[in-house]
Amino acid sequence: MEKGGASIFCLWRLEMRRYFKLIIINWKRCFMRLVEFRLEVVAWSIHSIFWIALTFLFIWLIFGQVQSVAGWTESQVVVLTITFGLFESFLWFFVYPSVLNFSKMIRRGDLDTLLVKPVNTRFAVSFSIFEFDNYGRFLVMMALLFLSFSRLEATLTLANMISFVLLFFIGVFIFYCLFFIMATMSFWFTDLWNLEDFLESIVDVGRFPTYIFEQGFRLIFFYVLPVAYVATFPTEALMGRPSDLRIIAGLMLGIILFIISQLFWKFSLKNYTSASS
Amino acid sequence: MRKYLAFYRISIQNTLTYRGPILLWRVGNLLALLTMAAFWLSAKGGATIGGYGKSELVTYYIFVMFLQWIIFWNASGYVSQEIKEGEFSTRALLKPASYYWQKFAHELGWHTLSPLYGLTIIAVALFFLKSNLVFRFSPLTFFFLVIAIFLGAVVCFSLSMCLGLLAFWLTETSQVNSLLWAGLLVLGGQGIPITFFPDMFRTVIYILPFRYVFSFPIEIFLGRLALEGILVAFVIQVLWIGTFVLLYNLLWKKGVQVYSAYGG
Repeated sequence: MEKGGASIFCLWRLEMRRYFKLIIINWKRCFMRLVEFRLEVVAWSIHSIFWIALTFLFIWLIFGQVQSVAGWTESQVVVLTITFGLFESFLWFFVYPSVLNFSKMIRRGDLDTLLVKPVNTRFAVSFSIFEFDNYGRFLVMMALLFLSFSRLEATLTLANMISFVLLFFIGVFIFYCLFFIMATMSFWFTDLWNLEDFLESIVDVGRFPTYIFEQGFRLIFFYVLPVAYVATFPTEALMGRPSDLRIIAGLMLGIILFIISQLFWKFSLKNYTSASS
Repeated sequence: MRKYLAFYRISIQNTLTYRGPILLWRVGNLLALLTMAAFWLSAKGGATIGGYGKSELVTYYIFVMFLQWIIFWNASGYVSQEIKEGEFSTRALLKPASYYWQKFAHELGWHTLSPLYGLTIIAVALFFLKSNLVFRFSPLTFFFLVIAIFLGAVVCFSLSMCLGLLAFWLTETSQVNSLLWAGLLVLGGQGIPITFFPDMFRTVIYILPFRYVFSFPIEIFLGRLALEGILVAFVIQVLWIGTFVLLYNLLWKKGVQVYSAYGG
């Protein structure tokens, strides 16, 4: 019995190593593509930094007229905006490109090519594309986060930083699951070619402190359509507000959404009829 | 004229086939509107914020959403794509019809029908925000508003056609196209009322074309402009349309000389 358990563990480790290798290969392939179009990458970096500047212009204009928003001061909103920028950069790194490509593959009937490959199809569609274009924005945002933190009236502790990182990645995972469910709908509604705009409009709600909403909506945006995990909760963790319950709730929400997305994916796959083959 | 009516009809038919995507856009618009309304209602400032009361700001963003559906005539993406992919030869050079008016008919068709999909969204928005609405309306204001919206749409369209034609010289045009977005969002009043800017910036904003797409119709709608201000703005709208049409003709003449139909 013990021997059987050990061999299952070995097999699992081998499988994990294989999948990790596949991620690295995809990563390298995408990076090589990036290096090939260097000028475009520079142009995109300038473009995204231009949009960062516009975002801060908005904050400056707004706080020229108001003292606070939902109790949040200008410095707090600046840190929130930077966290939002980091979150978006991360989503654009692999969640958006892979999920949107998955939706496109269903519409075009290209999913067949992945279904016959000796690899878990969900894994293949979820880690197929890595976009490195946003690295400029990511680096600028990281630098700004360190610079702007000093303006917050809070002490940066290791516990706060760990809570920030945990809530941030729980948020990424939650949104990956949500987006995967929405992209899986392409099995049923084949004309969802503007899914990207819709997903972005959901994430955009997290651009502001979720406390701007009144009780009913606030609860929805905290735990049903949990945009609070985009930037509000991680920023509050940095500010030293208690985050333990939010981490636990986020983990539970992530697990529930993952199970739902997996069930929906399996169910939809059974009904896949392809488009071209 | 009849051939352009045919383009208009085709555009209407195309719009009818995009029911799902348009609905997704509208739901996204509603989310953005509710967020902006919640943002301003939760703001703590003086009696007015940037010269607007809170209810006026909520009304402002409802009207921005409605204007986005009818006024944002942006053909630059289609134009640059057709040039880059070589389709421009068959769609523009070989057809006995003006490319400008083809695209005009297309945008008119899209913007005639697609706002109707948003009526439910307007109803939902009004349900949640009805206590925060401000209407100062007269038949004369309505008349001016219709003209301002139409001219604003043409300003936006003509500028977008010029940006689209830059694809004759540039391989990547999406960044240039996003300048139109950025201009309207920041300087056009789409993202924030222009009264939030300091005076010296506002002088520049009054000269640039962006105000005359979004902000000007909203200012009429909220009754913030005197008759003189409205008439001056109409003149500036017409001047900008004239400038962009001239620029379009110039870019067209120079562009077709360097155009190569890759894969066309």
